[in-house]
Amino acid sequence: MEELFARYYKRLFGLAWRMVGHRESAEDLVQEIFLRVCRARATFRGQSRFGTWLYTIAANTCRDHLRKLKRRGEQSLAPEWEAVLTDYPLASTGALHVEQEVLRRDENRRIRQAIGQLSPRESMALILREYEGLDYREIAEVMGCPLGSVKVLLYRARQHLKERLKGAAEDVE
Amino acid sequence: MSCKRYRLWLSQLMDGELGPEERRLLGDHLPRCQACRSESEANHRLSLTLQAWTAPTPSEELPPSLRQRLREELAAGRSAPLPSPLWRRPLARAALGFAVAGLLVPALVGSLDRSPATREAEAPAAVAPAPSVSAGEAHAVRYAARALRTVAAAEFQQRLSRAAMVVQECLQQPPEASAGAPRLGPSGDGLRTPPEEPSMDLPRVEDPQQEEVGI
Repeated sequence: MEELFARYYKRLFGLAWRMVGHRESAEDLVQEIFLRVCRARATFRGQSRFGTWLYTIAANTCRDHLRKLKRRGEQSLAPEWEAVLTDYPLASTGALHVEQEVLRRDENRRIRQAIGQLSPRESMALILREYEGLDYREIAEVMGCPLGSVKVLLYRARQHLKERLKGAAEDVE
Repeated sequence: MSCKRYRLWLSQLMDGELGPEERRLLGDHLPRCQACRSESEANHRLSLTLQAWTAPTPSEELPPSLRQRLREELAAGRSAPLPSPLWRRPLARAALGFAVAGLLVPALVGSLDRSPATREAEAPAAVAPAPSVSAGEAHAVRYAARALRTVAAAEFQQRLSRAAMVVQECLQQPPEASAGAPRLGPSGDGLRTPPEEPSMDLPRVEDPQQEEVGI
């Protein structure tokens, strides 16, 4: 069991981080996910792949966390620059690298902002597809929705992102 | 077909989830539609942009404090058996039998109630295809489903009470008379279904939060 957790830790951290936008919150969330997996392991009957079952628990945990924040009236994403500074420590490797690093951070910030403006379902479907590599059937199973809904969610998420990223690029210019 | 459908297909094509027929139709459409070709290029650029959003590396592979906590959780829950499937529970089977009887008895009574003349007149109808489910049958099925759910909850409570009584008895007995070591699944990692023999251990309460799979 410990080996499984070690294998999935980095991936689940990536998922949690993309959902909540802050490293420490993501680490806490992954801890919560693993504890839920421990408590619910007796319910895993092999009807789906273990990874899909794990992602289902992860997605539900992220959803519950975001709902809790919303009830408290808190932002789901940490203040942008605070998150950018803490999550991407700047390596002191020279001016050129610093400039590239700043550009990379800025790009990350724009994407994070755009994805943060999607609905929770759209952002979850997009993250599971683009970053976790799940196929449509797996996403449908994780999110507990029909296959057709997954197709529409991804289509809408991409349309919204294209509009927002295009608008953000025009603002910069 | 409107371009909106083709654009939905473009999104699926990006993910390799478009069927052959849709792919053929899309392939026929794209050379004739500049807007959809632009959409396809925009999708491609978006995918490259999104891949640039890299997550930071977590501070540790699996933090020692988390590792310790997980060990404790696994050790605490290791002896808990799985609840038996619903269809194996005696009370659930009785409720199902009752529900089936509820469907069959009205049909039987109805058939016995007919006079011989009525039966002869209805004989050709006997070879006709079965009629659709009547309101009474639908009600019986709904009743059965409700009964099964109620039985499941009631039986769980009974098992919990019985398990508590058994634990009490064990505590009162001398140590050599108590039950053997807790059983693990075949792989020992708690993920596989343990054997269905009766156990002296308390049943594991399922995490209600796991029941939710929808978002």
